[in-house]
Parts: sequence; C-alpha cells; structure tokens
Amino acid sequence: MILTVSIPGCGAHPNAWRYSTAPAAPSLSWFRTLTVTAERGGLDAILFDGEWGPAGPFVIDAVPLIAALAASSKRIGLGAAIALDHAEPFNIARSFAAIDRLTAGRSALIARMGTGRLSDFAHVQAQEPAARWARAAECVTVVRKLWDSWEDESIVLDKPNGRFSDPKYIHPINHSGPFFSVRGPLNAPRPLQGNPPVIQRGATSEDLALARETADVLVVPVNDPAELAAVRKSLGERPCLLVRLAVLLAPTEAAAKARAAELGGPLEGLSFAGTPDGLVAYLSELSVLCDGVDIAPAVVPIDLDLLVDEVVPRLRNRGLRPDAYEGRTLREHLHLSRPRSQFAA
Amino acid sequence: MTRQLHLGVFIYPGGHHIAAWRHPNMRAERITELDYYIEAGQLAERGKFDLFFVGDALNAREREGRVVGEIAINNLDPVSVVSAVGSVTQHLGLVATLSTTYNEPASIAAKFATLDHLSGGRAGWNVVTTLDDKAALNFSRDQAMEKSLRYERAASFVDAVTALWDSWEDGATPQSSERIHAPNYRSNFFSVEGPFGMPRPPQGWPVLVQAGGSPPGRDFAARIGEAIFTAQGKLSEAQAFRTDIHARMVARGRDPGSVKIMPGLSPIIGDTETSARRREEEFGELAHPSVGVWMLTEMTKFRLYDHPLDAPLPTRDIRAFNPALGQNALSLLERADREPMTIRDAARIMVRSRVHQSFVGTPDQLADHMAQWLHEGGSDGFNVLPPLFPDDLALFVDQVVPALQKRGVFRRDYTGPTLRDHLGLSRPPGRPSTQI
Repeated sequence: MILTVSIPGCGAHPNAWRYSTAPAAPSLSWFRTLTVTAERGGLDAILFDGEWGPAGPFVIDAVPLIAALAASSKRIGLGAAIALDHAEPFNIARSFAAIDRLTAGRSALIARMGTGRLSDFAHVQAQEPAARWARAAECVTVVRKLWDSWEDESIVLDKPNGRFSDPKYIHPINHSGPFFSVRGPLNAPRPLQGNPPVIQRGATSEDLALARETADVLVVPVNDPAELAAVRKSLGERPCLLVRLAVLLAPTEAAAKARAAELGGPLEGLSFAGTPDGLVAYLSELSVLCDGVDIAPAVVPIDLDLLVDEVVPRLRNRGLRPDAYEGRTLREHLHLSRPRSQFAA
Repeated sequence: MTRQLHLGVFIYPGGHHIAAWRHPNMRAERITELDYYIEAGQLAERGKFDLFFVGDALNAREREGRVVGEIAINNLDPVSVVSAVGSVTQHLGLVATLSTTYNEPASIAAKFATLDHLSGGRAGWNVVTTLDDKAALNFSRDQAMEKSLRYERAASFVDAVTALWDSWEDGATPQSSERIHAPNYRSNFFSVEGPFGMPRPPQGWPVLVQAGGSPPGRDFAARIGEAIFTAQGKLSEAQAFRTDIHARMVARGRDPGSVKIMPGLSPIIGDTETSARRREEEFGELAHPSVGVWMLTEMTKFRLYDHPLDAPLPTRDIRAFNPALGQNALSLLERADREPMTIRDAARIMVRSRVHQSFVGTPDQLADHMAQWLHEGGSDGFNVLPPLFPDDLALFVDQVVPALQKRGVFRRDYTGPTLRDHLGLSRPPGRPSTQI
C-alpha cells in the first residue's frame, strides 16, 4: 500500500498547537526534521499544503519550502500545494519544472481549490463556482502541455556542433481555451518525471470530476470506509486513490484514550486513535478499499514519530510496506508510469 | 570605517558567456542539477558575497518562431533555485526575480515572506515588470502592458505586498490575534484584504531590488529600490547614473544612503594580463556569431539576420525602427557611437556579457578597478557575472576577494545574519498602528 504523510500545521487536531513543539514562526529546521523523520520511515511522500501553525489561516507558500527540503532528503517525495483558483499555468509549470529537477524527480503538485484568501484575487471573486472548476481543469491541462512542450529528446548537449537543444523536439503549445491562451513552449526542460504527479484533495462531486480529468492521485477526505468504497466505485480504476486518515497513537489503548481526552474533542473525518498494532490492522482493512493512505498526524511531530518508529516496522513485518525505497522518483514510489510527451510523434 | 563594496553573484546556467555550456570544463548536464547550484552558492558564501542573484524570463528564447538550439536553457525558476541554495548556506543573501505584471501581490508576498522565514532573513525580491511581448503570449494577453501602466501597476503591487508583510506586528504570534491586522489595501489595480498567513518576515521586508534603467524605471528604483542592479560600461556613466538615482531619491524624501547601486561586472581573470586575454579568446571561439546576432535582434527588435557581419552596426536605423529601446540596448548603441563597431563586434559583446561591463586582467588589476569605482562614486558594489560557472566564480573567490580584502574595501567576514545586515540597510519599521 502507498503511505504518505501530510503536515497539517501543528497537527490534525484543532487543539494540537497546545502539544506541538512547532515554533512560533515558520522555520526550515522544523520542516526539515519532519521530512527526515518521514524519510527514515520510508514513506512515499510528505505533503505540504503550507499550514505551519495552529488550525486557521496560517499558511506559507509550500513551493519554496519543498525546494529548500531538496538537499536534506534523498528518496522521499515532496508535495507542495498550489491554489488552482488563481495561479497562472505558466508560473506553475515553470516552478515545478525547476523543482522536479532540483529534487531529482521527487516533486508533486498538490492541486487545491478554494484555499487561501480568494478575496485577495479580484478576478477570482468575479467568477461563478462552476467557472472556477472549469478554469482549474483547464489550468492543469495547460500545465501538462507546458511540461510536455520539451520532449525528452530535446536536450542534446552536442558540444562539437554547438547544439544544446534540438528545436524539432520543442513545441509551442498554442493553447487557446475559455480561460487561458498560452503560446508556449515553456522555458525549462521537461521535468525529470515527465509530469510530476498531480495530487488533488477533496470529495465533492466537482472534486471527483476534476480528479478524473486531470489528477494522478486523489486524496479523499471521508467520514467512514463505506464512503471511501463509494468514491472508489464512482471513480473507477483511475486516478490512484488515497484516503486521508487522522491518526492519534499511544502505546496502549488506555494511553490513547487519555491522550484523546486531554486533547479534547474528536478528530475530524476518518480517524484512528489507538495503538500501533491497532493502526496496522486498520490500515490493512483500508488498503483493500483504495491504493493507500495519507496520514494526518493528530499532533506534529508526536504522531509522526510514532508512525515511523512503531507502525512502519509492523507494516513491513506484515508485508504491507517495502523494507526500503525501491524506486528513485515519486512516480515510481506511487507506481505511476512515466508519461510520454503528448507532443511526441 | 571606509566604505565597503557589496558583492552579488549573478548565477546563470553554464555561465554568463552565452556559450559557456560548451566550455571543455563544463559538464553541461549539471545545469539542471541541485549540486551545481549548491556548489555556486557555497562558493559565494566562502567568498563572503552579500548575495546570490537569479534573474527570470517568462518565455523561451526563440529565433523566428523556433527555440534557439545553440544556447543553454534560461535560469530555472528563481525562487526555487535560491530557496534550495538557502538551505545549504547560513549567511548568503538570496535574491530572486519575479514579475509584477504576471503575478498577484498576495502570492508574491507569501513567496518572499516564506523565503525570508525559511532562510532566517536572507531574502530579496528583484522587482521587474517584464518587457517582452512574447511573455504576454504565455499569460493570456496579446502584448506587453504599456510601459507607464506597467510601472504604475508595479508601484501599486509593491505597496500591496509591503502592506501584507506589515500586517502582523513584529513579534505577533498566531495566539496574539489582536496584533494581526487586515491591511485592506485598495487601488485601481488590486484589492488585498488579508490578513496575511504568517508573521512579519524576519527582515521586516525582504530587500527590494530594482534594475530599471529607463526614466520610469529609474523613478521606480528611486521610489522602492534598496539595491539597484544596472549595466554601466564606463565610470563616468556609472557616476552620472548614481548621482541621478540619488537626486531622484532626495526628491522623494529618501536618504541616498539607503540604496546600494551594484553595476554588473563580468571578469575574466588570469595570472598575467596575457593569460587573461588568452582565456578571453578561448571563450570567443565557443560562440558562433549568429548567436550574438540573434541576441542583438532580440534586444533591439531590429532584424539583423540578413545584414553582413562586417557591416557597421546600423545604430541610426535601429533607433529609428524602435523608439522604445530598453536601457541595455541604449547603452550598447551609445558605446557604438563612441567606438564604431561592426555587427560582428557587437555580437561578440553580446555573447560575452550582454551589455554588462567586462574586465580582463589580473586579480590585482581587477581589485584596483573595483576599488576605484567605489572610491570615485561609480558604485556601492558589483553584481559579478562570471563567464563560466563554477570556475570563474571560484577564481574570483580565491584570488580577487583576498585582493579586495587586502585593500580594505571588502569584508573579511559577515557581521550579521541577514541580507539587510550585509548591505547595511535598516529594517523597515512596522506600521500596524496605521491600520484598522
């Protein structure tokens, strides 16, 4: 099963900030520690939506964050969120073309809708919701065209003849749609993964429709396993489906109950509070219904540390997780094939 | 203490010589790899540079509709590159270029505040308005915004961004909501309510860098610039430029001491003048003149492809054809008026350092030259454009930096952690009291 972790600021629990050791302002050493821990656990990816503090409007730009994490990790995938509502496809394609090279093929674009203060973007306010979804779908389509605009063969590095690239493999995209007209080509070589995986979050019918059309991975927030099964049925085989699971861990059931009581109030959505053995059993059940699980630790870093140190070894013993990274790129970790350029002859 | 030079290193894939990727020492595939940028950043930090600078472009480089195959790629996305370099350095300033024409203030404010937080106060934003019509075609527009409108938008853009940066009082935390304010910035261009998603950046504001050379560009630089990058070939012109910027600042009520003017400088160094000249010749062989002619055509928009290479550069025709030449093009034409040159000569200048000043000589000669510009009011420092990365940066760090230190015009070590500390710029005071 695929196993990723998301970092919901101080934690998935609304009161997590009382127990988290997160610093009072965003700091690289904090995010670096989390990433190194997740990599130690062999997790497929660590996903940053930009939240860094208590629950609320406290977000940074996760794109420079994952660039800053490239040098302190080697194998784990690094996801960063983009607000599809107002981002320009050329800027998105350019950022991720760079980051996918700098991370040697470990980046993922987390496509978000309805996040951030949309009121700060005049052109978004003016749009009907349906138009926002249509714009988002077109945006990802244009991003993929831009990534593909330099075919894999385009960089030739022929020093004797003075040819760095072969223009016949580099294409204007000439995209013209209701929301964007983009000539292209991109001014960066194709990402190492061809297309970094596009990971979408959400469970509404609009989310599912967008994911079907544009995403490689859907991370779905649900309330119970039955809902997850319904999403899988509705989606079909594609895209790769992960379920978001908020997780609170302790060595014994009693200790887990005590921690939950101390935090006060429930974890939102599908959640698990209990022992490492209990979580292994639950993950095993969930893995039948989808391709994997995206863990949201109740308190960061406590529940991430326990996941890596106590749960991952048990999953490996059960054969549910590999003993070490098998692939190099994030697409390989996620068992996604590398796409050919859509402009390839 | 005597005035000190401020040094930036301007990274470019391969190097600033347009054909650097062909140099025998260059493993060209490195230019998309993390280690290449890490090596350059760590070298610059070893040389106590103030900052590491990455430019930007928003369109592929084309000749008559096809990508120019003879040259390497553009810079990779600047914020991503400097952020990665920041993660493996402790002091080096990190300046990335982003356009006010093809972005939104709330995104840019978040990007640079994030970079400033993650790097512990080392971020700088090179504010550009993006001249090229070809960029517009990648952003659902037919042509570049008209120049004065572009600069009006840029001014409002910067106001919106700084309002967001200032919306948290210094020291405010998520728990002190009474100290987090909504900027409620409104103009004809933008409406930004906030609140902002993170605390005030460690530097208050990341350093605002500007590079406009035209009159509206200079006005904008005088309004917002804290460091100014510029192409100046001659000391007298550099002095005039610096005096002009200072006058424009005074007119706006700004202290001329609050800006650092850093002309570009492309050095080719050798143990002797002769060996430096030999290295220059070596580079000259790498680029086909057609690449330089393409660069001239791109810069002036005047099509030079069918002109004989040994014909004089048609400065008058170029001026007549394009009355809206950028500052770099104008400085080249002025130079051609002074010292007549053929298209081939101009092409050679372009492939070598575009229009930036180049210097060929020994480390001591270069150090004397730089000190002279500093002492005679030509500049506050330089943005160094090594023709080949990392080799020419390593030479500069190992040979020129010690020569500058010996002359007492460059720091022997960093004195503070932030880019503002290196540049001697004060931290902007917050302004939440003026907000609701």
